[in-house]
Amino acid sequence: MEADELKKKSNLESLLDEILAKSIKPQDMYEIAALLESIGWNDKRASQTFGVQDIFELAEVLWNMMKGRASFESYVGEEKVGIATSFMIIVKSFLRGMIFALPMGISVIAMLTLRFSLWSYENLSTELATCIAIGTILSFMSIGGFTQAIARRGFFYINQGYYNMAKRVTYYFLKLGYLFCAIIALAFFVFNLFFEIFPTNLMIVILVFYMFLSSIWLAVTVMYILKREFTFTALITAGIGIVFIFFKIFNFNILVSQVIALLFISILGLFLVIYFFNQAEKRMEKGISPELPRNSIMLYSLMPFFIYGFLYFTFLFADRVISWSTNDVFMPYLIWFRGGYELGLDFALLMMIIPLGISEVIVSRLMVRLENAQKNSLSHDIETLNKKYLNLYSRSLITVSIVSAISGILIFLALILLRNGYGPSIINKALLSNNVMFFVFIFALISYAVLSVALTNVIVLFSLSVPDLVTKAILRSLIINVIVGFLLTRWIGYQYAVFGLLAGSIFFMIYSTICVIKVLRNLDYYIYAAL
Amino acid sequence: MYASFYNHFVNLSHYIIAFFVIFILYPRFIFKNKYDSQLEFIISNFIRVVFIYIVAGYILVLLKIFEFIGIAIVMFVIWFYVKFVRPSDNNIIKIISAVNVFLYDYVDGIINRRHLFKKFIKRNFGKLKITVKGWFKNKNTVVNVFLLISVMGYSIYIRIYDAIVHAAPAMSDAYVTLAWMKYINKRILFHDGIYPQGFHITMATLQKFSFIDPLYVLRYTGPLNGLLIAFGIYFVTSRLTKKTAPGIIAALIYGVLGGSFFGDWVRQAATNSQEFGFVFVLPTLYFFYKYMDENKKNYLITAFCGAAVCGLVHTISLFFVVFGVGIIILVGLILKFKASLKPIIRIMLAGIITAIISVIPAGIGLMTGNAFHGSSSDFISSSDKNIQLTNLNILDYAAVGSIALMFIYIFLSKGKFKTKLFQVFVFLFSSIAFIVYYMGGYLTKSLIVNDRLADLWYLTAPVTIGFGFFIFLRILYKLKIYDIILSILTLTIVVASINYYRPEPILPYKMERDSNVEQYFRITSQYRATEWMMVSQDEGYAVVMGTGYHMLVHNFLNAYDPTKFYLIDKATKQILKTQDIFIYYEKSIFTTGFDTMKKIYETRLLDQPLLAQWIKSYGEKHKNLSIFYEDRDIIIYKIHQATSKSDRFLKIWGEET
Repeated sequence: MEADELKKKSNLESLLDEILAKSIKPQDMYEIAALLESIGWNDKRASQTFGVQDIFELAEVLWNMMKGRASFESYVGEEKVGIATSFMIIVKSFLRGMIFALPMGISVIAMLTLRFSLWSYENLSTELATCIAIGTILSFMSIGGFTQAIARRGFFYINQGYYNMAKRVTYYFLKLGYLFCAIIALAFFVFNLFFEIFPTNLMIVILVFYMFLSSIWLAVTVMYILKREFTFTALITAGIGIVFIFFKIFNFNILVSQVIALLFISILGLFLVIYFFNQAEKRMEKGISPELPRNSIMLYSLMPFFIYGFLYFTFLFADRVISWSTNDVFMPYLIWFRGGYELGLDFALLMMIIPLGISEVIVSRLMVRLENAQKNSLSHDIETLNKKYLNLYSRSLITVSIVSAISGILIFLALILLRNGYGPSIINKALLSNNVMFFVFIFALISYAVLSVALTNVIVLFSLSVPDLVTKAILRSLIINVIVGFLLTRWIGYQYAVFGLLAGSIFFMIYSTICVIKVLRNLDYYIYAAL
Repeated sequence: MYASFYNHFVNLSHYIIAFFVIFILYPRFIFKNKYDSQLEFIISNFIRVVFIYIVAGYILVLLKIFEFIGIAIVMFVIWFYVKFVRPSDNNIIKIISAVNVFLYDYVDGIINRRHLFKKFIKRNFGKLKITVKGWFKNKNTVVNVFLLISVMGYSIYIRIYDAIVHAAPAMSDAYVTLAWMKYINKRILFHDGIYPQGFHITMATLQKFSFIDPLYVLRYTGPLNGLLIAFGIYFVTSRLTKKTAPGIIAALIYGVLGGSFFGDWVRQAATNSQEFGFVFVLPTLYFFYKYMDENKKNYLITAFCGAAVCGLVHTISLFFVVFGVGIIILVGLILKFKASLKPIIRIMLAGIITAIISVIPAGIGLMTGNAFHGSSSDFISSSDKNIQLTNLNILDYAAVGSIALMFIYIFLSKGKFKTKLFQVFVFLFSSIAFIVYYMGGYLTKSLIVNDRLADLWYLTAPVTIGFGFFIFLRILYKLKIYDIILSILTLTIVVASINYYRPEPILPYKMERDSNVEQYFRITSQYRATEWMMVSQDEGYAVVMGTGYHMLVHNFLNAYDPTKFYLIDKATKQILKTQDIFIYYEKSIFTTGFDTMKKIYETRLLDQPLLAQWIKSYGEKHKNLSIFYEDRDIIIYKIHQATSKSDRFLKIWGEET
């Protein structure tokens, strides 16, 4: 009994520390209650853990404890860490950001060297290429929202060490994701049954790739939140390996080989997700199994992220759909794959690997600085502080811009070298000789460089819990992307869809920058809200 | 097989679903129901939405974005504007929050799925159930619904029979209509000269949403036009008389019995813009009349859209509308001068806008360097001194008798004169239509008056007889069993007249054999659009356009040497790389009796042995020639040119598309 009391007290102490880490001087017990809710506490959990009636009683207990403490620090300095540790943190963050883009890089390299990847092959017929492309795009668009929701909520609990809650919430969204994909697949199939946009055999190919790829993206997201980036990179590599074995060694049809690999990877991915979560759960303190918030509350808080996820992937693929639907030749189907356009975008996309890694580092550092600045500020310093915030942000943005530009130049030079015959002989140079591909590549390169900067803004805005602004920005950018791309492709040529991507990205960058500046000008409010 | 049940089940299902979605369902989301009945609402919606599609179609073609996505965007923008932008009460926020509340309640398990489903069914089908129940409560209504369905069913049967059984398009006009529809798909306006493109835009729109071969759209749309005209006749007659029976009689005359009385009956099974224009004439006049009578803005808007559609589809149908509106204005001025002034001014304003809208496409055509379509402008100015007074048939006499009945009714029936607006309108309209039909050609010696303006009579005569029937039976109006008598009499007339005249399916003349087109469908089902070419006569051009390549036999013979390893164009020196080439060889040349075709058939006759020789020589030098199809009239040879790996690679990853 006594031991229990002691444990409870110790837990209360650590909870108070956690609250004080978020706000040094809570004004009253209500602020504490708000902070408790913001870190996932609710009445039930409070009652189960500390035997109090509700969250307000817990807040009162903590308020009294806080008043009872003799003194507290009035200033929080930046945590001092050694150069080596600091370097390691940066490298880790950078790798984490970069590794996220690694599977994509591996796929492109596989395509250049092996002539195939997990879901593409250079000698496919255009019909099959079209089907796979549609399946892939549809999978990204369908899963985009779920990946954001899982990442957001999963991280939220994992960062607090509540793996059980993270597991339950992740499984809930995984279930929803699979259900959603199944509904979309069924609806698409029935719709196609009536309208026969694609022949049934091709429709099946679309749906098989759609379902498997969706499953893989869901698994990849979970691995990302569990910080298992190398595992999913390995998974993709293994998938390519399976295709190699079946296609090259057993002489299976490429499509069959890819489907086998996808099936294997998606099942394995799912098992790994379960395994990793169980492992992580073991590390968690035993006996803590609080209730999740009500589904409606969870969905309400995640809805902007969900919408963003969907819109972001729609934005990324809108230009492809617009380009491939350009009816400048006979079109057997509504969408007709154009390899040159796809390759141009794929090569250009490689430039995002470095900026994504860098922005991860920069934004996390920026957020720490902002928070510290906020904690240590007095209300009459607001203007000076605002200037400081903006200054910090500007520097971060310039850094990301420079890195993006450098990354873009490096990728450009690499492609030029490859086009001129340099590089390993295993690389299929014929793929690079296409002028349309090169045209698309150049403008996509600029677009993605601009997009990298915009994405940095997105991370900042998400960190400050203002996802609505991001959603607004991406929606408008998507509309611009579609309108510009649609008109130019119909007036000039299918490859001009890339200007839609460019226009959308530029708008996204400008609009999101304006949003960040607006937020930083009222940072005290936003940081409080974000907590 | 073209005529198989499965083939038409698939294609007709697509066609009907597309028609339903874009002409019936979609307008329900954008227009408000301010009408006397559901049927009035549906017809008004149809008129308005066709106007929108045509105007949008013209703009999209000019902007080079006429395609499924372009049309869908326009439809979405209109819907969004109507639902969210135009309403002042911030509709979008309300809807979003309603959706959110529903979603959150649903995930929290507050909403019961079964209860929700029941509620949905009740809300959406409850009214329909009540309406259908209402029909079956009254036995007369049951008989009338049955009769109407039977008349409409018979009307479509005799019109669509040819399209179901015979693959070859009906009449020579079909090829022009098909080609123009496909030019719209290719975003080309006035390819063969300036001519209203409204019908072709409407068909192209329908094709975009039905995802079937344009040839099916062409084949089904012609019969549908005839059906819609008959339905329009039913609608106008039944609404004006406020009785279903006269409407059924009128529809029966046009839809089923017309073959025994009307000239140019075969056009009912063919697909022409004139008939599509006629679909709108009577309903448009009805809405103009309703506006004049009730002064409600929504009627004027629909009437204006109808008139504009006529102007954008076919000039003669616009002329009919103008003529009818003139009579409505005249009747309004005579019967209720003061009350009519405001509506008349508005109607005239609508007329001016209609005229401008109708002329704009021609203006654009002229500005972009096009001339008016040759044969159409020739037809307008052509005359014939031998035109005589029209020989009248029993139907004409019945209609004239109905006009006389109307005259008597107007002057002898009770009630103030100014309450008889529609009776006077129908009387004057029918009388003038009859005069034009009977002696218009004779007096003017103009072919267009004789052949085309007389068509107005074919539209008005059924309505007139329907009115005559209605007036004749007014004697029994006070009887309790009046409605029963009306239904029994209608049933008798329908059964007796069909039994007596025995209308048979319309079989229009053809320009080519069915097997030519049947094999085209076989090719499109087996070969990808970009990878085949048909070598055949002129008719194949419109059929193949947009799905494959086409070359005339004569040009093919001149261009390619069969003894060479590759098919190299003698003029351009380019290798023909098309993967599969289908050469149509006619064992006996198909001919028609048209003088204009004589020279063409002579050339074909000369080319026939040359083609046989070409094929023989090619076969001796190559191993890739085979027979794709053969019957007693034609042989279709196939040349298969294998593509190299690098060609295939280029096709997917190269600049070739």
